[in-house]
Amino acid sequence: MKLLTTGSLLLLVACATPEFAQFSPLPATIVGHREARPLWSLVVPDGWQVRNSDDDVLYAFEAPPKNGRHLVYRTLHVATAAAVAADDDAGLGEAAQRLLIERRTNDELVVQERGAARLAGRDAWFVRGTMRGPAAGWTFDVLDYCVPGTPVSLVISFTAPAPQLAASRAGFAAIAATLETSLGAPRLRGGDAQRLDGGRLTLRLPAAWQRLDDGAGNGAELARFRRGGAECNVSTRLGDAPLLAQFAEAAAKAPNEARDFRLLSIDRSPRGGHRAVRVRSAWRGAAGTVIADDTAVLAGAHLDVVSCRVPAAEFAELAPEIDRALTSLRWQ
Amino acid sequence: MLPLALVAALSCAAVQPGPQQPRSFALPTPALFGTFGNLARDRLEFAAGATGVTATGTLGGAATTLTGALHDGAFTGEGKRGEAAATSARAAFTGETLVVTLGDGEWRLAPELALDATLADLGNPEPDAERQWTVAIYLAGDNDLEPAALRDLLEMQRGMPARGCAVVALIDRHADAEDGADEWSDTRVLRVQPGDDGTFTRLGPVVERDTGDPRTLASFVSGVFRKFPAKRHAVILWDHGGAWTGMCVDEDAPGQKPTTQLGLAGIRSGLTTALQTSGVLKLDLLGFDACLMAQLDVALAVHDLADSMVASEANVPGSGFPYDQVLPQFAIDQDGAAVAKAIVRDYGTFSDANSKSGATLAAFDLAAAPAVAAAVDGVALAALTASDQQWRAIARALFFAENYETRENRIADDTFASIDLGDFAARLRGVPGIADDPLTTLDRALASMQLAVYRGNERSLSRGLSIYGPHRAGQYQQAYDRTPLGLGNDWRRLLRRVHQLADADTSPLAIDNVRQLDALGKNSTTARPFGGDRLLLDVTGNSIVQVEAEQWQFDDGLGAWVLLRRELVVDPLWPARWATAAAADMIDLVMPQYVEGKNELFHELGGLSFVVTDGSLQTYASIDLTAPSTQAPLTAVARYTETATGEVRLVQVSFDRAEWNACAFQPIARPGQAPRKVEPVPGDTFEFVLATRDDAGERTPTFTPALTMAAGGLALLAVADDPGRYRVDFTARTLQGRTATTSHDYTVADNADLAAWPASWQDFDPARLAGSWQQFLVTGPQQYRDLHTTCDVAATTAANLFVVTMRGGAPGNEFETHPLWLFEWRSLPCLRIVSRIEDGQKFGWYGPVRVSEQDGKLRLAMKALNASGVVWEWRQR
Repeated sequence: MKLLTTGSLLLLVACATPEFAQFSPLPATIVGHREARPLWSLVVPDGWQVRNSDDDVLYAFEAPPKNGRHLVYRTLHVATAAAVAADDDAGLGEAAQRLLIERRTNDELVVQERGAARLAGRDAWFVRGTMRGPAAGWTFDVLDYCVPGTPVSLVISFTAPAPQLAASRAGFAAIAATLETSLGAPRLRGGDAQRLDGGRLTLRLPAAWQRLDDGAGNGAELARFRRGGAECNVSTRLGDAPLLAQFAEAAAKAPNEARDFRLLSIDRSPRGGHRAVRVRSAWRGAAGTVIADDTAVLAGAHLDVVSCRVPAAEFAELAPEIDRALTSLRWQ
Repeated sequence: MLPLALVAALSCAAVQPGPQQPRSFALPTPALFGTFGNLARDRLEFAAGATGVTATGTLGGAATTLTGALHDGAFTGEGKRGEAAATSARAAFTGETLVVTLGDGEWRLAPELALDATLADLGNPEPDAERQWTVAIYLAGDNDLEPAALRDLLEMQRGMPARGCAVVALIDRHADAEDGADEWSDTRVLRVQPGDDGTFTRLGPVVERDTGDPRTLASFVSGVFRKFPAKRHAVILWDHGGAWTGMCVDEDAPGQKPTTQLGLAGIRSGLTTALQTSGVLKLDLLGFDACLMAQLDVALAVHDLADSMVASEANVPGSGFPYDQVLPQFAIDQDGAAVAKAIVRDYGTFSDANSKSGATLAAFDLAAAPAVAAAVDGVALAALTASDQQWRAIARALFFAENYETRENRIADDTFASIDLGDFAARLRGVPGIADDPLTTLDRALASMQLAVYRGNERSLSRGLSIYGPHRAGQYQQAYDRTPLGLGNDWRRLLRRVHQLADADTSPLAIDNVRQLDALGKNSTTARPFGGDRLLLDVTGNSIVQVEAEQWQFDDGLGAWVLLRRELVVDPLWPARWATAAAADMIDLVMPQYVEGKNELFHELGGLSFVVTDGSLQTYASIDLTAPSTQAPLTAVARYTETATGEVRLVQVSFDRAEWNACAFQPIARPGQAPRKVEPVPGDTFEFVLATRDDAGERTPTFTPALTMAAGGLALLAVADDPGRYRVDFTARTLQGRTATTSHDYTVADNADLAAWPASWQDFDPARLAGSWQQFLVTGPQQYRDLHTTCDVAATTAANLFVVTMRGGAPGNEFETHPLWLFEWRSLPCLRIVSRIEDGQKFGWYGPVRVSEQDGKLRLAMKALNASGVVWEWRQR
């Protein structure tokens, strides 16, 4: 019974799979000519034909020497897509892959692998899988890259008849690696990465947060950002666990009914794998109620502190940005 | 020194961590159900389900879910926040704050009401860099104060500054059937802008809302603060006020609810929600334009919600705050304390100029309220320690302290029992066993809390802040147990202890040894009008506060006793104490100064009764004179018929104490019935109630023939008692409400001498009253006390009306007053002496007057009807 079933399946597969011409392995070193478009350029291997292309789109393909009766090709397709919206790097990758998958919805893409890459010196993400072909039983291997940018993103797609990607993948990656682009960096809602203290510490804040002069003569202060009436300061000093504990204890002991001050929360959840304390409080400044959001992180020998002061009237709008900024904290 | 901004801030003196002081008050712990939030937009909604309790919401910007159960009022279970793994969770109250512990985090939340979007969503914010203040005024006018609310709204418009502040009023009007077709009766949010045309910009839709619902308050204030961002924020709550019992009565709430009102918990939850949802840590100013709200429990209930508070210990007249003067203060860059003090100043000026002599208003630093509560705790503890021996003295201090009700209401069960805290403490000084230290501490705490105090001339003992002080058990309201002091202060224990000891008191109480004497001091059973007849009686007991006398006449036609008047036995020598005594109420001054044990009382049988007249008919009525303060009127109850509609209602008719004309008509509402205004017009009729009783003591009311309202209104006349049988019933009342009674029967005979009173004026031209007179008090037959007072009487252009310059007083204590004398015939020749004391308040003596001549000099004698036993004599100089 088991044998019979297996045999039947094999028979069915054999009947449904067309016989494609076999492609020779694509070398990992690409020799070809560079196709340039206004926003990007890419090297197309020798022997590939370019057709149906315009200022935004490049379509190139390679026909095997003996293409057989089915006339299948190894293809390269480059096109622009909408800019990818995301809060931070992690979100950007998810959004980029989601874009790639959604573009293949009608092709019934079956995702087999997701990953990240560096193309043209910037972050890119890819999706690998299979999709149906133009006729019943046809299946193609797909390797699609998304390079998020502004004002648009770039999508680089490779196909080969299944199951021949193994022989082509290194070459596809090599072609993608020839990408050069003038696209702007992707605009994250969380903002650009701010590399502080010599790159030891990074965080992201949206561009609407204006970075003020660093330091201002205080060696402990790394950066100041301002948006509207809100301000966030990043500072550091040599610190240890007792200092972190002191920070938390001072907040915890603050009497809730103290005049002009109210403790709202103390969160000791780790950040970036480091011990941390986040304290939020409210008090009244000269122009009204201010929400204070102070986070101290013990990163190695450093106690890094992000202190934000937000007028209560702006807090609803800015709180999510501060939350994302704190989530974006990274240490080398 | 840490370089962290937070720690630096925590190092400020204002928030220096230190040992927690024991709190001497408490706020009710909320139930762990519903929504809790804070200013950082952390928010959890707790709900009970079949399998336990769940909470969902956002903490620290991450979606959060808790599941678990309640044990002893605290939640325990597990929770998940954002992408983090599930971990243990706990939520428990620390005071009123809900502390949620989840994993490594702790969030502090406060109860939050669901907002009503129709009031809370007033459109996009309208920032204005020039705006100093945003003021939300909550006009809870869905009751009999609606006309005053409308007047105040117009006053606001007149006083509204062109720039510098935003003022928005919520006004809830009454569905009064008397309103015209174009009158609206719903709830509207109106922006006040400068002008005088009575038109306002409406914000949000027209709705009908319950102003007794804290959600209405929360939604309105939140909406206003978000719509008009400002540097500083104020809320003014406007309506009837009832001290710790609450305010903002809505008699016509949607949904056919019974009458609602905001209790202290409702005010607190409404304001807390408004502040949290609008991102305001604290109000800079909270104003109560309502009666009686300057009470310690009120201040404690909001002590952490606002910097400053403005409120009145006493009743606030319908005119309320003078908004045309108050609103410009909000356009100035000044803090809440400065505005609060300005409101007190402006209110004082307004009250002085408008005869509001019973008014008070004070500004408070609310941060100092807990210290006052602690000081009260100290005083209460000291008094408790001494209470076994001194409960009577403590009860007397409670009773006689400055208070804000009529004497009748003070002794009633349903009293507000609001007394001035400082005056109460002053009355404890010197009580054996109660040291001065806690009293001094309280004085200092009060001084720290009070930023400014205004007191009208009749409120000289008001220090600004009141406290709930029922003097006997029957007055104590159990709901007080849930107030800040009731929950966490020895004050409640002190009250209950004093009440308990009073209830256990079985010391003798009796009225006996009633002796009737004639003018010459001989025993008698017959009295003559104006004959100088009186009763002496002994009242024996402890803690006696008053003796009431009911004067009955036997009506042969009815075959029953008819109540002519109720009055209090007063001390005929009280005028001698007038200049120096400090009393909360004039009645405390005119009463005998009861001592523990035996008291001999004097009660004049003046032989006079009052009748009510409409100008053509006159009839007896049962007149109530038991509230002889300078403001309290004489009252009688009548069945009022509105001729136009045929509607019949019971009303209390008030007669002005100085002029004896009907001055007010107060409907007597049935339970659950909203009182409606009574404004009699000519043709309407009044049938006055005469209380009657048979010899067995069974009382029944009967009604007099109808008097018809005429253009001249209704008035009282004094008439000599008819000959016949009379009875006076005495009831002695102690602080704790114990009573003793006795009766005395006598007859009234004609007084032949009385004819001389009107006769003396037959050929006398009243214009001759002009001149200089020396004043004496008649203390007995041919017995006089020289008051060393001169009255220079000058005629006016009006007939029989004179202006008088009255000078006298002991050296160093001289006085000069300027009363009016009016001679008139009201059944008898009468002289009315009306003083308009400093703020215009009327105070009067009134009574029959006789003129005579001796040694070529005129003499004028007057029997003062509103003071037992007082007879004045003036001798022409």
